[in-house]
Amino acid sequence: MAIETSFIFELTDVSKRYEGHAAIDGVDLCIGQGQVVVLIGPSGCGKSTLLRLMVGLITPDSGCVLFEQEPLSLENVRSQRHRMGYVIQDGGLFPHLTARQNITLLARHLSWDDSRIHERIETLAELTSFPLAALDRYPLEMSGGQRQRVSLMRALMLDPDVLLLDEPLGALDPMIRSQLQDDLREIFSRLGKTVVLVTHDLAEAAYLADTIVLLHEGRIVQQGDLPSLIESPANDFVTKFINAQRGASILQGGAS
Amino acid sequence: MNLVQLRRKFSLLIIAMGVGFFAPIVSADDAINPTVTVGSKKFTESVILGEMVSLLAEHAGGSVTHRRELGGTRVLWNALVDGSIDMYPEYTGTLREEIFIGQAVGNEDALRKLLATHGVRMSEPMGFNNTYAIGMNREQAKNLGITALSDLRDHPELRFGFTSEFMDRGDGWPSLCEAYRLPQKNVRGMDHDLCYRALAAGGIDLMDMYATDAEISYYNLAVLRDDLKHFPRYEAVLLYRDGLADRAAAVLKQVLLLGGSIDERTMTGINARVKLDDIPESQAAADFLREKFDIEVKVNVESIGARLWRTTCEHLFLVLVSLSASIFVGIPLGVIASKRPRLGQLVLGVVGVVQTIPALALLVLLMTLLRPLSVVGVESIGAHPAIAALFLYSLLPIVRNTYTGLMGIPLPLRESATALGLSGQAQLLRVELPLALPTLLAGVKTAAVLNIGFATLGALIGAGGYGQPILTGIRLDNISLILQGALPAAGLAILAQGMFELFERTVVSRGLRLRHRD
Ligand SMILES: Nc1ncnc2c1ncn2[C@@H]1O[C@H](COP(=O)(O)OP(=O)(O)O)[C@@H](O)[C@H]1O
Ligand SMILES: [Mg+2]
Repeated sequence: MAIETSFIFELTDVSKRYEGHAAIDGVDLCIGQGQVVVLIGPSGCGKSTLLRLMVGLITPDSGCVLFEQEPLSLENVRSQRHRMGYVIQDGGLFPHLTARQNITLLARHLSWDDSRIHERIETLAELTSFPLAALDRYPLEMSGGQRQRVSLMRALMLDPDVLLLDEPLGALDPMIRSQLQDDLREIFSRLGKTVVLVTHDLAEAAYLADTIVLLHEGRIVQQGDLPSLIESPANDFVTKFINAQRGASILQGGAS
Repeated sequence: MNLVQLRRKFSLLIIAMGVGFFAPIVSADDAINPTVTVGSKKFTESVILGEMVSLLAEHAGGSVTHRRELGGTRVLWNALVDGSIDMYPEYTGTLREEIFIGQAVGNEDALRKLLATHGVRMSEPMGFNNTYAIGMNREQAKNLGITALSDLRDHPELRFGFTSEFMDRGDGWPSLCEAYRLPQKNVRGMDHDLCYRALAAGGIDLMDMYATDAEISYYNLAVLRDDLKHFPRYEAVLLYRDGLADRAAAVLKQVLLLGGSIDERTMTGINARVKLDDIPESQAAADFLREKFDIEVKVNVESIGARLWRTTCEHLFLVLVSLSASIFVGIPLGVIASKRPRLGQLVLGVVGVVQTIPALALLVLLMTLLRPLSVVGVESIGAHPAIAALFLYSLLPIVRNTYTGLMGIPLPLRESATALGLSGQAQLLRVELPLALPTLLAGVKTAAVLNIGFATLGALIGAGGYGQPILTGIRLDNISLILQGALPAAGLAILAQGMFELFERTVVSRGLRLRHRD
């Protein structure tokens, strides 16, 4: 039974403090191969911090973070990052590079040959429904939705084992947002990759997630699928959070 | 034991070969055409004397460089002592009052002995006494009934304009004021040539002057009698390095002809030809040599075009070398400063302090600092200290803008580069520096423009460039000469600015310029 656990991420009693205030407070979290895990919770509860710990941008004050059974360390963090695709909250595209240059920056740094790069870009553009003609635009010449697709392509360029997305749809208007939600779900299912996605929108979480992880003040309050959160909430906070997020009618419908 | 002997033999051989290789070249060349570097101060009489010396030395077969118009006695004295120049015209009074101030030097023999301790020799006096004098408008002097310095005691309202040298030196204003118990309080320091103009315009009433100044007659001035015999004698002499007698005996012999050959009337006359009749110094000097010694020398009077070309080359040399050095040092310093906050504050602090040192002080400071490097061929006057000063001055805008450019990159972008798994070097080269480039280039542009302007001061220490015609123009009250330096300098600054803007357009990513537009 212990042998069967092929976790991509394994966080054990991880804590991170800022100025005496715990941003992450004793978190245990295991993320299995091929799972889509959505981190959710109110603003400031530590979602981004948790993601940054996983990608090694910050190191925990205590506890340990294992990525594919290995702790993140100074020596191997760079090669580990090549197996993760991380997209920060607002995309983080480099404004001085075109979409194509952004996507291929790392591959070129790793001296991939041109035909391989070209092939990969075509695959990714097809996957994310990004128009080839727009590849030579600079970030400031693209729409918000296009920028998110480019960020996603950049994260996927090296075909990583896991995607880490911090509120990828946060800044988009509702129409584009719902379009992208559909596309993301499609992409996740086609790739079959492990995904850790941050959102503060419960409907989006329910739509995309295999497992929802609800955070509050740096701790994991409950994890599971939406029905289990609704039917057997771990505490009052869970109910309150769901209440606030969903229309009252839906909640009543679910409860009856 | 054998090995040690062998090694010793071998090294002796190497040394012998080295000496054998260099010695013939140096001595042969020096014997036929000894190189002689002549210096002169930045006033007309000194430049004329420097020209006479240079022409005579050349006539005797010397290969001569004349470092004209160097700024100040100390600059020349130091250059002579450390061998940057071989000889220059000086005044005995200046030696006593400025170089050996505080050491009561007795008669001429005592002065010679003291000079010898510095490896310096003195020629016979040339024959004129260019002492300090106080002068004023002839009309005004007559109206107020002033003929001697003692008369000034009754006119406390009169305003003095002095050269800053006169304000400070031992026999200058402080002791003059004490000796004559002068009551005047309105005293200011300014450039000698500006004093004349201020006097003519009524901005001041009295000024210090030299007894052989050409302007005395031009501005119709009265020289006040030194009735208490306050001013020491300022006999014109030549100072030269000890070694010159061995190294360039024929040249020295020729140059020393000048001893006892110029009286005050002659000198004032030559000064007036140059200052008032616009005869080039070299021409006036050559005319004197022909009349006095029947020596014919060629003078090459530079055409305006040739001078423009030469000063442009000199100026560009100063600017390009110093600016490139600041770019190569400044950008890495800025990068280091942005990576290590503590060290960064220190670096920014130090280059900031350098910027606050007044330009002239920095030049003189560097001349002193570079003196020990003369053994490796670094000169303590001329282009070397000027380039060092320009390098330091250009550093601040480059370091600071590199630093602010890098620090201004939003954290999410830096983290994205890290999270991608780029190496530190690749992050810097492919992300951070390109993002900081507009700010960085603005810093280099500022440095270039500052540098071009500041390089005009290099002329004060013999580095040439556009500052040279400006200096000469101020000295000769010649606007056209001033413009021949000032206009190209301004033009070069504008050109540099334009070129940087063009360069910016080609190297800064269009993606960044989009942001700048909205
Ligand atoms: N670099 C930092 N310095 C100080 N405080 C931080 C830092 N990063 C995060 N925090 C704090 O940690 C807590 C969690 O932040 P974050 O993980 O960004 O929350 P969110 O769930 O909104 O993504 C917040 O209180 C935030 O102020
Ligand atoms: Mg966040």
